Amino acid sequence: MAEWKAKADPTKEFFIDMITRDIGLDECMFDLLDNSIDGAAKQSGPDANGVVSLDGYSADISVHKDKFSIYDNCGGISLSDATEYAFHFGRRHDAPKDSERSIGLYGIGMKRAVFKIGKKINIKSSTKSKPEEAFETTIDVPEWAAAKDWDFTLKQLMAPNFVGTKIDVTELNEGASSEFSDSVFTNNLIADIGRYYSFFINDGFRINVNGNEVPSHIYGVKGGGEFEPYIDQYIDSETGVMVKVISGLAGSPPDDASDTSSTRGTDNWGWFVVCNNRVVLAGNKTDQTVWGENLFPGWHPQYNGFMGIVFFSSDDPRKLPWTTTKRQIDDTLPVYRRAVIKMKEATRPFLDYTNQRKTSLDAAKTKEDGAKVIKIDGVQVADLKPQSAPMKVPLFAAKPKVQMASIAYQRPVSEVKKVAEALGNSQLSYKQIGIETFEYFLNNEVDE
Amino acid sequence: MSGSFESINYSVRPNKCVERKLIFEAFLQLSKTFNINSYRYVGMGSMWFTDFIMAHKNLGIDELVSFELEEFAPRAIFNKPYNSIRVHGESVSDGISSLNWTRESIVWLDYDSGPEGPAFTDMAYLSERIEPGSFLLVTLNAHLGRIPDRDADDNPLDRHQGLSRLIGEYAPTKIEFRRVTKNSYPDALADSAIKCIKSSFRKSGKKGEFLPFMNFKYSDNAPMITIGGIFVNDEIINKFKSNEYISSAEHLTEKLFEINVPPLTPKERSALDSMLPSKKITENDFTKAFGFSIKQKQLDNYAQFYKLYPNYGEFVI
Repeated sequence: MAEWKAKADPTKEFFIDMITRDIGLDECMFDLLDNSIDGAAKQSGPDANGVVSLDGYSADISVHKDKFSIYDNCGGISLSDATEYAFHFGRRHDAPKDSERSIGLYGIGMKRAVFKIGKKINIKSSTKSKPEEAFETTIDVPEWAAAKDWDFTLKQLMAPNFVGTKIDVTELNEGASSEFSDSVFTNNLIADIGRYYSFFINDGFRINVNGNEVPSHIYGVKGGGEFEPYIDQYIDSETGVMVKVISGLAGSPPDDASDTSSTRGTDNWGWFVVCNNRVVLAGNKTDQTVWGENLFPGWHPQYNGFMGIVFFSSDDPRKLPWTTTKRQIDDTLPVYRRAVIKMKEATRPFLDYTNQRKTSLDAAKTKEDGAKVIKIDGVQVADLKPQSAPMKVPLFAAKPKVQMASIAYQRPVSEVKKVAEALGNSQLSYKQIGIETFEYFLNNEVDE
Repeated sequence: MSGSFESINYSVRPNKCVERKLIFEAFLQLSKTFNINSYRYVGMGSMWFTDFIMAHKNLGIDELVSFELEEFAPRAIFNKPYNSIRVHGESVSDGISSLNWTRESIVWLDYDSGPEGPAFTDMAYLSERIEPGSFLLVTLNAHLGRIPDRDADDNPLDRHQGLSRLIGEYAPTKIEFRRVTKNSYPDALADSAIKCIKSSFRKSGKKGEFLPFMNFKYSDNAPMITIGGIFVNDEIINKFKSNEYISSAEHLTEKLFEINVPPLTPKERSALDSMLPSKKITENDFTKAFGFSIKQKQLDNYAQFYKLYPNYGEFVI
């Protein structure tokens, strides 16, 4: 019987297209930042108490219409790591561990990111211990794609005057160039980095975007007075993953959740999922966390003001529930499923609270304003001892029942807006405008 | 709802008048590189049509479209000075969707309102549809009082938050403008408007970009800004850049340029004119000569634009 061979070698174009297709430009930046932070953590190492400080380490990102760069001072790539692992597509099984609680895991981040951004790539790296092994590589992507060989040539970099890694990309791909020219993109990038890397920035890592230092987003829930956050810390017995769940009141729930404005500016509410201090899901309001999941209530604007955050930490990043882009979670993993049960426990009292606060809105607001925001820090091994506390929220005595009527009517928006302005707040909800105008009539025209 | 035309005749505001003349002078100069007279002019002519008269008389544009709210449209139709002006009795947003945007146009959306009004939605909507070669100008009210200071539940909002409620991701960030104050707001608002136009055009997937070259701030009563620019592709950008007047005029830049001519009596004006042109009239010189003072900034601005300063008078027809 005759036998033939069908060719199955992937073409490099297909390969490049495949690895870059499913990733956004912001995620490229995140992949590169993840590498920098892993480098910094490896350099710094834990102190006697197991605490890793990232003080003094930084990454400078610069995004422009015709050029992208990221320079860090996070230790650099050693020549042996570079020749054996760093440029390998996919992480080799024999690759050395990056650091305790590393956030890089698939060994694809850097290549995927730079291929997505542009066609001409220059990478320089230099370490403190072996400056003579500092190297540089220049990749012309179309040329590389046309060549048979998959390897990259590294050239020795003489007398390097830096320790760290410098990546420059020019001849940007059309999409990248277009996005990078838009200051809305840069503003969103800065806000997202502040949100996703908050815990590293708090640990001392500095990130600059086009010369502006990225401020860290502060995560916090209210405590003191009649509010206390839900806390549960445990070690997942099957995987050894350390899990910490915190939730509570972070802002004021809306007076009137049916108002359209209560669906805007809600980035800070919902569930946040964090793996090795890297925020993976932010402000989640879907069944990837608890909402509408297995008969649990779906998200509703009435729950604005709720924040829950769940940390997963492990020396082996493969045990954590994240995907390659680190912007999604693998919600089928048992370690995650077990945490979701706790997360539901951590959500339920808040939902009940938003229902009962409606009966005593003014009192509730006073108590909410009186409580202080407690900042949530990232998880350090040292402070992770099993611990748990239920959520505390104020209770309000049910008011004597008065028979109520609902009034609904339609008026032109232009007229309603004018009434809102006359009432002194152009942003008043329609419901509030109705109540205030009714009360005005009641007080002025109706006999007591 | 009353129209702003009921409270003011646009043509008697000296700074607005100077701005309008600067804008039409720029388009006249652009006629050297673009066939401006074959463009379509789209604006908000109100009852006075001052800009339409200039577009027709100075630039030779015949196709003129004015948006006017339906309830005022009959009065606008009565007042339109030329037969070829088409008054669209609809809101700007409806008007934008009913026009064909492959036609090269000069569009001036001259609002009385600020970011709280329909301006950002309109310019985003238009920028998604407009084609390279067209010009877009937008005038906005830059009074701080138009930024909401409380949300629907009466929780206080700072100005960044207030703007973000109105115009979302186009609002200035704390990195771009650390504080939004009386002085920085016109600049911040102009920046937001440019961001909105650039970003909306880019996201529509057309090749090219928005190139702003006008950014005026003036105040006859309320502080106002006007930003303006051209949508370009590779070919049009070269044509545009070859125009010497545009590339050399000091007042035509992406940076905020203040038009601040003083209100003057005819006698004061003649006295000042008699000292011009001159490199510099200092506040001291002026005070010495006339016994009262005018701010240096205003003297400089007048010296720059005295030829465009309007003449007012009463006449019987």
